[in-house]
Amino acid sequence: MQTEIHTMKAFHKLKKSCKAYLVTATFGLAYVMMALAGLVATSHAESEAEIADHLKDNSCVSCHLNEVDDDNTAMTEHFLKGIHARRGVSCSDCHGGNPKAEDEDEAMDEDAGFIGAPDREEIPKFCAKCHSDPNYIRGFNPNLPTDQYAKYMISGHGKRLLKSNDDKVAVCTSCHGVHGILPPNDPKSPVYVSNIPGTCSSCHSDSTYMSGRHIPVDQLDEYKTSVHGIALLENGDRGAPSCTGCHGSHDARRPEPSGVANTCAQCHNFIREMFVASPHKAAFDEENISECEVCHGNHAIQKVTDDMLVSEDKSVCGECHDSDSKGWKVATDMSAHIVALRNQIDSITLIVDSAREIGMDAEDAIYILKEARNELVKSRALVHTFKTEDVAEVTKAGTEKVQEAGVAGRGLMEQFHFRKRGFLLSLAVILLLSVLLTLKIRSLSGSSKIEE
Amino acid sequence: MAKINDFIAERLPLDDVMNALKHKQVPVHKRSIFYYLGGICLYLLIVQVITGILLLFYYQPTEAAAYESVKFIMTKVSFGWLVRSIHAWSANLLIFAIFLHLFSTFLLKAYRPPRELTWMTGMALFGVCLGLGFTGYLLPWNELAYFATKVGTEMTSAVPVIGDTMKEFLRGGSNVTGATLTRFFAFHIWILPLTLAGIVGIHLLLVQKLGMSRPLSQQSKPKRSMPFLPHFALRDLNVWLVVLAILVGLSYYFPAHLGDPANPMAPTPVGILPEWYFLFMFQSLKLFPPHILGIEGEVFGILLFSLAGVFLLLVPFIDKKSAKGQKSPLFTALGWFMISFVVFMTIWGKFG
Repeated sequence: MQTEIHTMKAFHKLKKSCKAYLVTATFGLAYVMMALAGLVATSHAESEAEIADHLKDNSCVSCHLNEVDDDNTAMTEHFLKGIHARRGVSCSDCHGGNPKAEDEDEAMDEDAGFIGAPDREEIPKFCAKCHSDPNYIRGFNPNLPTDQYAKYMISGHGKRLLKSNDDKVAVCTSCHGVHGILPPNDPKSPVYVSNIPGTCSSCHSDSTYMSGRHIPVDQLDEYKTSVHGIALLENGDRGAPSCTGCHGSHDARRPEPSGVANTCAQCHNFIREMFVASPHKAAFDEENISECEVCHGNHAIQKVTDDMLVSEDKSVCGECHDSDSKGWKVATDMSAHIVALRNQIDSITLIVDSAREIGMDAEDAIYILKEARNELVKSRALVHTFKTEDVAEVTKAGTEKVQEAGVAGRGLMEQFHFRKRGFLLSLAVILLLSVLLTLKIRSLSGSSKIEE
Repeated sequence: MAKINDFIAERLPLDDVMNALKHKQVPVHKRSIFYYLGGICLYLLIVQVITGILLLFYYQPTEAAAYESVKFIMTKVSFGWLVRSIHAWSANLLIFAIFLHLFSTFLLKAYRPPRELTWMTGMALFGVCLGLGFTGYLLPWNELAYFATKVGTEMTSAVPVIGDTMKEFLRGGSNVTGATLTRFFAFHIWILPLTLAGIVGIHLLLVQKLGMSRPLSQQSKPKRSMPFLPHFALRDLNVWLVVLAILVGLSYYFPAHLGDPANPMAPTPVGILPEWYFLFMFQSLKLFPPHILGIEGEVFGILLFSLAGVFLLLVPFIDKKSAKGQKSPLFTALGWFMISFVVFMTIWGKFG
């Protein structure tokens, strides 16, 4: 008995100790987590304070940040959020002056090297002081190119600035901003891929600003309706080209007709290879016609349709080829193969969809149809070879797939009807057997007798 | 023909069995309809065995091939879809019929002496059938089955002391893997069916030996009865035909689905639920607070369900009143409470 009491006491003691241990451990863990969180917060605050402290010693920041002039205060705040301030570049690194001087005149003494705000046409050179110096840039970001200035000077903007002294053309700050410059991969940057159309159009869509330049101002409106614009701006596909994708960024210019195809070929390489091997290449070169653009347009590139081969009003082939020409015949033949395959796919898709909707397992048929659609896509691309036999070869493979899917789809429908007939027949047999059994049961005597 | 009959009769006591069946009487009264439930269970069990054997011709119990083999059965094998659908539907109907059989037997107090063992073997059959349902659900190795098994086996770890060992034993490791599939297969086609066959034999023997129980409420009325052969047997057969029609209809209109293959790397889908017959327990366990009387809520819940199972198993010995042939309203109320609880919790779990 005594032993039992001891055991019980020991058990309760152990239980209490465990509870105490658990409570201590829980609070301890919470405390450690809070301390860690505090440490992270402290280190983060410290890093911010470090930048602020570093720049607070800087009289440019301390004066301009606390100035009565709201614009200058905003400018300084903007600068503090930018990549330059974050990487330790100070105001005087660009503007000169003495950031250690307390006195305003001494700090911004032009004799001591203060530059102040550069003129607009001086901005490219101003930025290039650092950004064209590989040794300097390497100290901040070894991956950052240093050819922006060289490229800019051969761009449409740079050329006009250099030759025509046109100070309305874009300079570095027009696209990147001024003091609060952000890296291009920052979604808030004006040169972030999906922000680029808006940035370019801030000038190029402004008819007043662009007056006298003989450049259309509807590029953004057109781009928004294009396959590229929809992909980038609506679907968020950052791989889709924005303005810089085709025109370049620092070396932005209008492509020459001979260069359009190369521009498109950056992405559409296979199509380009087909076109180059085709008879059209020499003819286009001879006429100095820009290759892809003639049929597909430029900013407003729309989704291609089969009507673009042969149709009453949408045929691009018909723009150049008469209806009795060899070229028109090739277009007609290619179109016939493609449209035939497309129609077959559509009709079999209806059957397969119907089978799926009524609960049949149509996975195999759907997979075969996908293969057929792949052949259709291939045949549409092969149009750029302008060889009927190439298109026909692929559509033939597609047709075989469609037929296979058709057999599978029809098989499913037949199986469905077979199941239905089987179900009704089995129900009828069961009902008949049940009726016969009921009749037999009724014919039996003594179904319910009183037990003795 | 007569020679063959004589040959068999000399070696097998079939005549004795037939004589016993011919003399067997089935009570006739207002509640006689419940006598058909046992037959329905037996019939669905036979359907399960036949369709299960047919599925075995093509099914491959490995992690790599299970899903594809079931897909092959559903799409390529002649009538494979029908066989699998009937197997799946009859499994569900069987559990449903067992629920009805169990509760009707409980409410009619048919467990009272001398049928205690009939009741206890019936309870054992119920447990084995739930096990068959649980193990069979994983075999297609699809997404739903995988995660339902993961959740189901996880729950066993809440059983005190042996929980973790039980979970590891069921899973064949710490996770649901191909090892779980092969051992569930072994349980589903060998261990549980053999156990089931043995208990069904004893259950049927007891039913034949002791006959059908006449409810207490019918004791005072004139005792009417009908011969088991052929009167009741033909009626049984007719009910089986109706069940067959329901099975075929369900399989035609709602064939068994396969879904996507299991992907152990995928996150558990939202709103994953166990099969409907485990739903009342699943839903109840969710309602327990984190701690009750110093133990975890889930552990408490499982203990409570285990106690309820033991109580049900031993009810013929606990319900003293009906054992004496007296009315037992407390147990009737308890029966209705259990039915309401199961129905309510199942509906809540499904649609709540």
